[in-house]
Amino acid sequence: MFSSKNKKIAVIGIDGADPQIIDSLLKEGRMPTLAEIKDNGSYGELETTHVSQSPVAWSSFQTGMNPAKHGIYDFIVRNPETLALDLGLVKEKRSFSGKNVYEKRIMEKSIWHFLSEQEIASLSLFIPVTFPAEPINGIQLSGMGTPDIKGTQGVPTLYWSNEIAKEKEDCKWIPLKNEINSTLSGPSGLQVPIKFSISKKGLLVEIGRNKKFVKENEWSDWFFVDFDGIEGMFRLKVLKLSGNEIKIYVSPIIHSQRNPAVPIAQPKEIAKKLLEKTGCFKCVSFESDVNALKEKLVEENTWIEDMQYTFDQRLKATEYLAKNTEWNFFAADFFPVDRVQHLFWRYIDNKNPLHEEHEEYSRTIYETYEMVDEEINSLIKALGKDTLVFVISDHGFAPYRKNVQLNKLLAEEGFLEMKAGGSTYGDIYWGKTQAYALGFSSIYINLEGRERFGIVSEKDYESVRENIISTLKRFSFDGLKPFKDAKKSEEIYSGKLLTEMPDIIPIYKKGFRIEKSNVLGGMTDNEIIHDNLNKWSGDHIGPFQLSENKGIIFCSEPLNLKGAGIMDLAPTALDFFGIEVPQKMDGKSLLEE
Amino acid sequence: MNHLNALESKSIYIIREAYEQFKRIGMLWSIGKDSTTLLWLCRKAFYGRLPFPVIHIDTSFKFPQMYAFRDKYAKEWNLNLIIGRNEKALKEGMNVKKGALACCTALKTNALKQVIDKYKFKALLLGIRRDEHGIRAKERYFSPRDTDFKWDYKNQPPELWDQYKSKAEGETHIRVHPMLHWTELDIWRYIQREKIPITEMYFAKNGERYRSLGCMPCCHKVKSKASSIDEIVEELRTTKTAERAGRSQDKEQAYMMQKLRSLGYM
Ligand SMILES: [Zn+2]
Repeated sequence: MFSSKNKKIAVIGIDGADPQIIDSLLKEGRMPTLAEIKDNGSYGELETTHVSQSPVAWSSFQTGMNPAKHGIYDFIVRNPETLALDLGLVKEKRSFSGKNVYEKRIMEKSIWHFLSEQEIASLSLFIPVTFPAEPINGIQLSGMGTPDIKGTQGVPTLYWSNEIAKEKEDCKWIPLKNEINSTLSGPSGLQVPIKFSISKKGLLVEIGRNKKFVKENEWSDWFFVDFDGIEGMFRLKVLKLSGNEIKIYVSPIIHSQRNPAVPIAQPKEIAKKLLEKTGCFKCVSFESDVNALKEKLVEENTWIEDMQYTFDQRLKATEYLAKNTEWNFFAADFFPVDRVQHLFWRYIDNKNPLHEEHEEYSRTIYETYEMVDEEINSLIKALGKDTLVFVISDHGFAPYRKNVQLNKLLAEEGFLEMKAGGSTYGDIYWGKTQAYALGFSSIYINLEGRERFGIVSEKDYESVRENIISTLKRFSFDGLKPFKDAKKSEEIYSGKLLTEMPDIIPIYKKGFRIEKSNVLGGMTDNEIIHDNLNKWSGDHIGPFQLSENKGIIFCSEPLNLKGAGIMDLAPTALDFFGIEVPQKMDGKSLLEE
Repeated sequence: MNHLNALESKSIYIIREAYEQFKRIGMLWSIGKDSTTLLWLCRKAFYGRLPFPVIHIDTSFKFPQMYAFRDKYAKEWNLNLIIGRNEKALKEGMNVKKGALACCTALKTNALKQVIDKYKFKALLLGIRRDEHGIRAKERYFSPRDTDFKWDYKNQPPELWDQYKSKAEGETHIRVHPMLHWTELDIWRYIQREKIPITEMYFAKNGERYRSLGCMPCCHKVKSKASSIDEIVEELRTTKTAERAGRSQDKEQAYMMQKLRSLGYM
């Protein structure tokens, strides 16, 4: 067995860190912290889950199991009995008061549950699919899947005097006046008045008795706002405050850290304590406001400010907990690298349709890696000398140049039919549909007995599947072949939830991704394959062939990391503490010789 | 009012308003079904005599049938036809092998720019439909572009006609979309009802037909047996059961969509 002076074990996640980029930055000497770990310890690539989406991979991290056991396999899922769609991260029970109740979708125990049983304390910070936070021995701050106050994943609002705001999504039009009365939108359509006044000191923002001045081009401090007993918090940036234009960016209103209405932290008091000690840690699914840049509410520079601020705040909270609480197992996931690669890939990919040569932004991705490396140095110090440290990523990155309309393809090949003039999931003509695509990497057969309006009999199931798989492999459009392969779910997964999983998993080539309307079960009038014209220009949704989309793993001790996978970390932690690894776990301890 | 009549009268209203407001307008005619329908509506709006020119952006890579169709109806309908070609780029050998985007930019976007510069158009009528766009699209009836054909957020004139004049600035040209509210099926039903001539490329031959038309190298066929307008309407209709359901966005559905779309990945 592995023996070590270490008493504690820590896993630091750099979500989305790509092996190729890491390699080249290591070579250039631009990541000294990781270089040092590598030199004194070990470094390798990390196998990820076959659908390389963060929630799926991090669920396998927590449980040491494959998706057919833990049940998290796509961002978007459907209930076959009702055909209702929902987020695949967490179950939500809606309430008219706006006080929604949330339940986990993850079906298996996580590493911190096993450790809690042995009275070993854990810090679980910002790990995807840990909302609602649960009482464990230790502290949990919830990660991806945490809703904002409206129940969405982080939707900002732009208050703008321009007429276009009347029509633009996520915008509120405000008149060009010295005193402006508007509202903040909360859960269940609740509105709270907000007043903006222009003064010599900048913009005066008033919510109830709460007043703050904010200057042009500056961010405000956090505001608290009450929606009928549900408290939220937000900050804003005054983008424009000149004679003929007022433009105010209001961040997503997230659950208040002072008094959260949903379980963002366990124990609950820790959220408030951290607010006092280190400030807001932005407990919401998309922690930096990706939708703001993607929907062009703000420009790149504003988004970068927010991303860096968010990372700083989360680090402060993390280091505070690492230094000031008792723990033996630590896991935290940080997102700046993932987010920046999604939104800035077009600057480094000259084949992207929106590629731009930009002095500053073509460096942003690499500079973000450098920033993370620097901060990890200080975090490792906070973790203490007697800690075995792993640094991992859950997947690499790839260009996103072309959209694939998978449902349209199924329709044109005769597997799916839409009702007259229809183009959305709600318009699917189930009586004539054999299969449909939903989510980022799933095709479901409209199977009799399982699906609400199923028409494919058990007897025909295999031949329909075969048929679709060979259609996808054969498919080409304009000389482009978007699919590398297509797999049956049982070729990838094993476990008791297999029957609920997608029947076919298309495997895209690099550069291709499913188009967003198709993700929601619909399609558009565009061609089956067309240019991606969104700033969201890098992705890892694939799934690509695994060898193309691995993450990274560093360890402070020399270990044999060959063939290491994300499912191995939970067994490793159990092994570290001398706890027997349950048979059910698919991963293996990395400490074994 | 009958559905098609309602669509028609709204479009005609917008066309007439656009002409009233801008006078110097042109209509883009790609020879496809949508812009040919738009042309039909424009002719109806002005009782058969168009008071503004029709612009065909000719990349030189259109199908021969399209050129024949254009010339036949330009004559028959007595159109003031402007043909926009980027001769310089063509001479320099621009084609799709240099990249689809580069090709489109040179031969479509820049050719159109040249036409606008030359004729000083203040507004263009386009046959764009809302259902062509993704779930988030909110194309407006009037969408201003700057001279680089990018969305001009800063000088965005208001939606309403009567507020327009006070705000717009000289160099902005306005795109007007009188058919934004039409669907593909609406178009075909209207073509069927009005007996609008349409190029035969839309009709199936050997089990395939074009569903939209463009340049030869960038156009593809779809599987279809529909060899007449009636059959296309039938093909698109496929209403073997009830009327299309699930389109009315009640609050709950709207909430769910907002929630799903709030994923950055969407
Ligand atoms: Zn990501």
